[in-house]
Amino acid sequence: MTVARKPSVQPAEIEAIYRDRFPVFVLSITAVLNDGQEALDVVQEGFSRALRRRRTFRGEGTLEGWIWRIVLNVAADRGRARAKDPVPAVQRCGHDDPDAPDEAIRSQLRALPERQRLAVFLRYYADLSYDQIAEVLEVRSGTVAATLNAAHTTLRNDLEGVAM
Amino acid sequence: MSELGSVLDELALEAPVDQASWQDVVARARRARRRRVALVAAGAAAVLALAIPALGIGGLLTDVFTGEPVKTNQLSPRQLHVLGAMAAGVEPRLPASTEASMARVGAANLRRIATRDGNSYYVANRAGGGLCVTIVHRGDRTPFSGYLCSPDFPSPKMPIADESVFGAGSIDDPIVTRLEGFAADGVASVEVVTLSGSRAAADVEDNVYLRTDDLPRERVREISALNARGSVIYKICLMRGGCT
Repeated sequence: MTVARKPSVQPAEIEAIYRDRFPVFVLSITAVLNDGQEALDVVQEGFSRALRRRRTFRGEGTLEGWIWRIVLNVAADRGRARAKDPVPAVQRCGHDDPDAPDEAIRSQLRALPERQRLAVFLRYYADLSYDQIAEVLEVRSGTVAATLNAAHTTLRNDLEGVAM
Repeated sequence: MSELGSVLDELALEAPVDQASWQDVVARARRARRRRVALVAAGAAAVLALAIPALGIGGLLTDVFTGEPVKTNQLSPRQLHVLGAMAAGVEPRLPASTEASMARVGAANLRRIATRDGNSYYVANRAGGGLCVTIVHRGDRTPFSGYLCSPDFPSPKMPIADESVFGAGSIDDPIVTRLEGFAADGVASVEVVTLSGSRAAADVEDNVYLRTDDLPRERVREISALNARGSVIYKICLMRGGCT
């Protein structure tokens, strides 16, 4: 019996996604890490890992979804390391007014469960469909709809609370 | 939800969307591959070094690698942390206070020992002996993000810290695209030898070697360090099963 083998991913395919989608990757990861330069490093590192590990892509799902998972894993590692590391990656100046609506939403965004937060970011910045988000987060499409709905409800309630 | 939209826009306001560099992605992938090859090579070299006598370079290893000190205020907190950890011989991911990193970096005495073709070559002392080395290539956007540290470099046991770049081909079938690294005083040149016996050498100057042109496009068999008399004093074997 002949077993059909999927040809391995070519570097040019990963490069094409990089060239086409770099801005949305870096926007999303900046929102995840709240640090633009760190996000840039994470996206670069994520694509470099994808390039090195391209032979492990088994063709289950899309190539872009697979790359998103790698990049988000790098971001998660970085976030965990930063949480343990008292050396601040970025020192910020200025004052936040916790009563301002924007700051309230920002706090609420930070407080969202990780999957909800990522779903919001992937939907908003990367304009991924529910199916694509499901693939990246490794959940079912229906779960994505429920996850986004829950996130929006939380954020809307918070916003109304501030307005009152 | 327009407020949410504006908050999301603001969250990503500082995203460096115009700083895409595919070249950097490729360079990172190559560096990682080079590190893997270096690990394999280091294992082989440890065995080979026992078989090759020191040939009298031990006396030449004192007071090498002096250079221009790097001011610590030129390094970011992250760079300080990575250098400090590597010089102290601990995992860079372990947390350290800024003070601890600064103390480690101070003891490490990071200095630039040479520049070549726009690239800068740095060494730092390693706690417990030996050196850490790193190369900042021209246009490198993440300088000082990786080091090669060894308690045995520089010594007759490890007279070169090879940082060569291996290009096309698998990890088991390496082709050198850039012959580059650090060498102890007793090393006059470093040579790449291919499976078919082709050779290309780079002279050592200021304790570094670099060659990027006319390198054989063939599978590499070994990288050898030669003394001033042209005798091989150390080999890094890149063949599975050894080079004999």
